[in-house]
Amino acid sequence: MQENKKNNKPFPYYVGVESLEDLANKNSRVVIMNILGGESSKVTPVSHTYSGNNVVAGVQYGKGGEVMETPSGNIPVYGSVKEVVDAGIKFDTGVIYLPPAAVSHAVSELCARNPDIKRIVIVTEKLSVRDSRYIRWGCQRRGVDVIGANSLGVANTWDKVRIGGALGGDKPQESLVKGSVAIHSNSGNFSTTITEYIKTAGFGTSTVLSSGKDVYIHFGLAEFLYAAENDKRTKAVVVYVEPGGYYEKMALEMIQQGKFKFTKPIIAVVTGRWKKDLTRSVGHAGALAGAGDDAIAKEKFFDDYFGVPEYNPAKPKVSKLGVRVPTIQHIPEALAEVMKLLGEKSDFEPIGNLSLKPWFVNSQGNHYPKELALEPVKAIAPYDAEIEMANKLVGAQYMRQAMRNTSGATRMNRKTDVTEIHGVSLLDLVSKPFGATTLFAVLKDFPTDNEMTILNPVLNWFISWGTQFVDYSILARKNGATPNGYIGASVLMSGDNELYKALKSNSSKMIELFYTEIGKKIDINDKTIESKLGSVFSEQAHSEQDLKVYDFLISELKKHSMENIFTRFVVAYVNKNGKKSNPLYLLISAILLGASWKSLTERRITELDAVNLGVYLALNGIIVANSVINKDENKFWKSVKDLSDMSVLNEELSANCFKILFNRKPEGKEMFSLNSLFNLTITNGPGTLSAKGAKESVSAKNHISTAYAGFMMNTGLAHGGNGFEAVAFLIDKFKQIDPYAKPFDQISGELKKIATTAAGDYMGYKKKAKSAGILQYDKIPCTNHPVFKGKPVNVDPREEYVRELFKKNSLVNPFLEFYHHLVVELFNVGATANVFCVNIDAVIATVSLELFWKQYKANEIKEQEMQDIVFTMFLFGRMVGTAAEVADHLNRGTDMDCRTPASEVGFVS
Amino acid sequence: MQLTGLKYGKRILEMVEFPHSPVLTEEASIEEVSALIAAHGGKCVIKPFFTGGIGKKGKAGLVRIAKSVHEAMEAKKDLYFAKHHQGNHVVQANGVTFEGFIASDAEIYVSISASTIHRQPVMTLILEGGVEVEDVSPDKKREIVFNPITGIKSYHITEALTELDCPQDYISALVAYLPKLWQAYDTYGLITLEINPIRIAKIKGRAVPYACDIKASFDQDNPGWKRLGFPSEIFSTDITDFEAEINTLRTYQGQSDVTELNVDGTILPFIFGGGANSAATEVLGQRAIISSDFGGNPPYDKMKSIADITFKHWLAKTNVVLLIGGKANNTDIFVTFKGIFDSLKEHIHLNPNIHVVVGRGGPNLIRGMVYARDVLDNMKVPYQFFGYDSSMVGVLEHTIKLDDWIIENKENNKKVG
Repeated sequence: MQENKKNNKPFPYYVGVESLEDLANKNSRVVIMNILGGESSKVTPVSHTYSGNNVVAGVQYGKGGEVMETPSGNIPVYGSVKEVVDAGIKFDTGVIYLPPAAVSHAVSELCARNPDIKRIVIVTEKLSVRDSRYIRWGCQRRGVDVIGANSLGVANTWDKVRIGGALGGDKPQESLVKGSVAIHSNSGNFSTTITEYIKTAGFGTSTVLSSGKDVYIHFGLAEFLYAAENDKRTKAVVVYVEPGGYYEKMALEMIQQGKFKFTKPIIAVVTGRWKKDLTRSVGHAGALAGAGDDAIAKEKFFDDYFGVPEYNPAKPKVSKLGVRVPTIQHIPEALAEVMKLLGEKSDFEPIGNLSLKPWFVNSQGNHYPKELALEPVKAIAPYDAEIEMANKLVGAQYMRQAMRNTSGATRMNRKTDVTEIHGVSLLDLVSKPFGATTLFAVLKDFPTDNEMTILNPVLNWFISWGTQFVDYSILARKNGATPNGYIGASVLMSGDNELYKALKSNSSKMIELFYTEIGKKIDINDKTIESKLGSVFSEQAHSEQDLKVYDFLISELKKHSMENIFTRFVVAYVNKNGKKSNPLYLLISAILLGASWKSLTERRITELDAVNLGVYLALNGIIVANSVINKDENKFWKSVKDLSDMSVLNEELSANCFKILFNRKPEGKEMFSLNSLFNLTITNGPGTLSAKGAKESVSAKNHISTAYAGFMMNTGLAHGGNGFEAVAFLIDKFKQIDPYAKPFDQISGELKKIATTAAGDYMGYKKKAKSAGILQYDKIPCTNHPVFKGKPVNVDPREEYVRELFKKNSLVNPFLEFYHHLVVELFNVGATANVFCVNIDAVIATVSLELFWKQYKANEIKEQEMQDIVFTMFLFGRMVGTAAEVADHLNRGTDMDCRTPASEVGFVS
Repeated sequence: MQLTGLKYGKRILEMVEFPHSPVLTEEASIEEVSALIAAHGGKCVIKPFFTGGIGKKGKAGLVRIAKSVHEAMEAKKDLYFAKHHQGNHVVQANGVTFEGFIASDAEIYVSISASTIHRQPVMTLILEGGVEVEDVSPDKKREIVFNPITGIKSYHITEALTELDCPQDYISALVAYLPKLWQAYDTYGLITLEINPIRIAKIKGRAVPYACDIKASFDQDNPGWKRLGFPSEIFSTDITDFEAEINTLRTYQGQSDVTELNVDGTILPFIFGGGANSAATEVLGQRAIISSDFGGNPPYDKMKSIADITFKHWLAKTNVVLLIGGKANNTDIFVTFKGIFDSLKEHIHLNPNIHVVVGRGGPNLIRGMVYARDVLDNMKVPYQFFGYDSSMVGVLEHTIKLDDWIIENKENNKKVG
């Protein structure tokens, strides 16, 4: 047997303390090794202040002379233990935070250089077993008690002293409540958790010790129980045990053999039955058992000691020696039973209970059964106040970051190459009403059909409002600007006008008035409305037409039972205060806020999104309004501008888009085609030029209207133009034949013939170009794709999806079918190495051509006009995705984040 | 980190010049095996080779003695992919060793292991080989407690063997060699070293002990084992790809311990703290895909990397993502939650239908919960967060009930419009 320092204690090894109070008390004086390290920097100031300034010095190798600041004063830092001692500072306890390889050296230093050292707490985890052995040997010879390793230290609740790690957390006074229970825990986390649990039975703690669960536990259960028996403050002991090691068996045998007297009850928890079959430790290094020290064996040690089986809450049976409980949640109840049996009272009235009390809940619409459908409850102090403050924050909260080439709104699914917006694939959007899609882009939820009965009028009114800018677009077009230019001119001219300002300020004000009060429900509440009527909204002029539209919208709201607290508030406000604020602007803000409310209160959108929603929709309205080719001859455009017949406001948005674009009513399934086309083109991810244009403008801190212009300026003939090139190509191939002259099944053969001829012509052109040394020869538009290629027969899944969807709706586009013949014939004549895919641009081109084919054949539309319409249709779709990107970037981005670093920029001479 | 058998274990012995039976691997030629048999009294021993550790129970029935090359090759065929059951695990061999048969009328069991009773290593000696030490009566074994700094000395061995009535000429052989095992134990970061059996052969009239099998477990916190130059794959089947990936993040800053429990499980638990790990894994049972301990205040990058790896491997088959722990002492809840939920944002496309349950306490708790709430609301993922004033076991049992409900309603989960 090694020669250890002995004293008059019943152990074959050295134990210094007589009572638990000796481990940590108000007289303890502490030096922290690696005091300025990461973990100690956070924990030591709290411990020091809580304990009444018991840290007399710290050691940080190479940093002598520094200080650690704490709320209760600075702690001097020295370069070594010798320097501390030479400075005349007396201390009896060392705490070690050093990395594993340095721990045993630090223990040696403390023992060698401080003659007064009595206790060492090792917080460090992952100490090697070998070093742990050295520490044991050295400290046993020296006569020093060691707690740990991997320990969160020890706390004396009566003296309000905590030594070592973060026992009790960052607010130890919350958990460490004075009482009569001592805790010995293999788990640092459970040391604190158990102190919380026993409060629910009215018990506090005397001393709490986190023993660690390494292979060698330096302050084991035997010495802890010995010290607990001698501690007048302690009336019971709670023990949390994991598998591995015979510490508990030794302790109980020593008591049973009379090696030391132990009269106090023990409540024991043993966990880890599942570790029996592990071949390596998980969690705690030493919690890996052999045959005789696994969880089941340990359960038996305790059960034999107590003389009663595991505690059963349904039929509680305990002994005066204590009881073993199945889980830590049974500790409070079992403790109360045991103390009752002993005639001991609790330390105080029970605080709280351990029932399930969720603080945050959102079922997201799932219909849980009763036992799972928990409602949130008020949290315990001080968390209730923190939650209340957090709940006052409106909408989603994002942390800002650089958003260059990054989007939180759209992404390309790498497997399918289909873009998703707010998690929804474009292909799933295709059939949605386009008006609903414009709202989805900002709100991340689709409005219902009933909601669209009032939202469509708002969207269409924005078109009407947008017509005021048409002179700018006419001038620009006259000067040869392309659609992005002439429509963009009107967009730019809208600046940050009175309407935008009013919509933003009205929404913001209503959110401020109602958000915290009404929660998620927007049902009408006259009392609440009445209480808000004293508010003041910004003032703007109004027109007679505005008032007519206001009345119209009010009647529509009633007709479709779409009134809500905001719209009713507006009515009451206008009635009370007159028309100093534009009633229509107020009402539109209210309608849009109602549409936003669910997304806002469910924190899927930010307050900024809700406030700016009207601006995005108004800009969409400007784009539609200023796309008109010839306003004087377009009666549909005029009817939207004049609103002499208000029913034009009830149309689906895409219907008005159609009529303004084509100057006629849609026939048959044309609406379906155009609607699909718009939805398909709303985005192609954040890497597109259009998205980048918008995002870079936001990054430069511009108005939303300028950001929209940014998107438009970044489009060009390479976008819609590609569609137009295809249109030009198709017009050329179908010079001699009208594919709509006969039913489709009668012209199918013709289409193949045209394709064969076209393929042959192209092959001839290609050969000529190559022999002339022209390598950059023209490609046939709308065929092939950088991703969907390389197979014998290639398919663009997006085009395939839409083509199938059209067929299901009895729509067969002969131009698209021609393309499918063409790619096969190109392969047959050897012009291509395999059968190219027909890509999604073909859908855009062929749908476009189909829509104005009749007018083209009747010479009612010029070539330039066709080009403009194709380009404009692209802009209509893309403006929706732009709103999503702009909103996202405004929420998350930082100023100038789209700038390209100099290191990524190249130069060519 | 464990190894069994002389294929690699012999390296430990060779480093301290402890004799062992000669070993050939499954790649040995017929000529080599024939020579081995001839050099060892016409016999050789064939054993299946298991990588990693195979636990405490013996390989009974999996050791063959061959008297000819033909028998040896037949044994090789039989044992090459032999399966061994150990608790819930089935391990499969991948190869065999051919070992020289050591003729002896004496077998010894010796081990050096960390004793929690003495809180230092102890040596155990039994004058019988091939035994399970727990099954041997106390009078037939000796436990030597020695100075852990100066190590095992010859006199320790002499005294113990004499008490066991060991034949004298065996004592002198063992006294010369057994202390070398301490050198190996101390130098190479071992926690357990077991030689079972040592067979004592007579070589030119002298008794020489030969290690005929070896079992070793290494302390993963002691880099001494690296000096042995083992190829990394010998410990690799001890851990799965997922576990290996997580292990690359192992630092002393915060835990990153995982074990794959059930690849068909439905609950993906992020557990904080060794105590919570023990308790939660027990309660969750087979539903838990993994057992984990991510406590100890890991920094953001580490937590995010852990979550990335975990979600990449398991999110697709998960019903409930569970974050569970007691009231943390120093783990910053906001930092760890941000790491996990930032990762979830990037991986949610793998399985948008998960539910999330949190049961936690500690510093920055509300800040962490609010962050998680905002992320989950944005993704429309349902959640329930409990503070430390709800019983941890209660939260675990609630999670199980939720999992049951999800399984039952997987096809029919209804949502309000």
